[in-house]
Amino acid sequence: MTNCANKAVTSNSIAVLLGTVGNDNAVVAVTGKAGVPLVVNSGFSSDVLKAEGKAFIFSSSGVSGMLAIAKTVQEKGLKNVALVHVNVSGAIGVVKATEAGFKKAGLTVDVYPVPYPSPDLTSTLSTITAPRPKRSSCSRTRPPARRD
Amino acid sequence: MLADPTTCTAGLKAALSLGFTKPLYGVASCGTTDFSKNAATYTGGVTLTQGNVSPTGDDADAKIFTQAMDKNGKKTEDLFHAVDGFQTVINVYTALKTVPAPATTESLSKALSTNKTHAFMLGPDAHFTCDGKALRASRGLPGMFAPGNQEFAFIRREYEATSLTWSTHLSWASGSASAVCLRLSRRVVSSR
Repeated sequence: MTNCANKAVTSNSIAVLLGTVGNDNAVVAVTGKAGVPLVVNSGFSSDVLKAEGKAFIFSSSGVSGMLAIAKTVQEKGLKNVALVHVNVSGAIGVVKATEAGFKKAGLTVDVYPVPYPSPDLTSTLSTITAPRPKRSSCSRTRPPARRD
Repeated sequence: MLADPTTCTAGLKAALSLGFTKPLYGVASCGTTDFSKNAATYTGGVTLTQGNVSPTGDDADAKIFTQAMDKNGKKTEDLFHAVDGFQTVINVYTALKTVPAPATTESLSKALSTNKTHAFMLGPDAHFTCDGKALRASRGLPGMFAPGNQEFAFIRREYEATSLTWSTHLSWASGSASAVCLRLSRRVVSSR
């Protein structure tokens, strides 16, 4: 991703870089130094959040979609959510940004990051449904499930 | 809950193979043709959400969006995946169109950082400023809806057996003025 970003900023033909990037932390490190504004579509990492004046979001972003899920789950009267997401910086940032919203909705969230690509998530979903001890925390991240 | 488009279809197929019956939720970008086909057979129910007005409704922005998609031969079920990208392109174009030539790093960044009362594509009728109030720690995120601190519109796409319904909501009021950046009109947009 760093190589790709370097190619983009050294092409001398890009004024603003737009797109959805999984590992946007690597990209913003390059574009920020090169003075090319980065505009991400939906996901974002903590590095993008901190890149004041160098990275932007002009869409409704993954955050609002995730909070809409929290609202919907709350309306359905459900209490516990198992959240599966790809383990890249752009997704991790969104998940972290929405934790407050899930907590506000009174939901307990177990987070299951999975590697990219993960064509078969059977083992992860088996882990989710397995019996487990009673928990006390509101939110926690489980280690990635073993891939099949 | 399937939180990103790269895991949605694999997660849904795993749920089907394991005989899951719990409800599944995902973001709208999950809604590919392959996902939709499988979602229609999942007995637990599948719901996708996105934080904007219905792109298939009567909103003026939605009409622009669907016309653009139609022009490029995209089917209705593919629309949701494109919303974030379309919003971004239109909103960035609007922010940058006043930048004088030749554009510089400084002029581009200034235009993106100081753009005010900008109509938020598919928002609905949301306006934002980049004054850092949307999310105090992140002045670069004018379009992001601050978690749990303001109203926002969202759409829901629900698969139940073979039926598919969409609905639009304005929700999540709290009145925390410190975090409010977007100004939303209380307008429920009809969906079809």
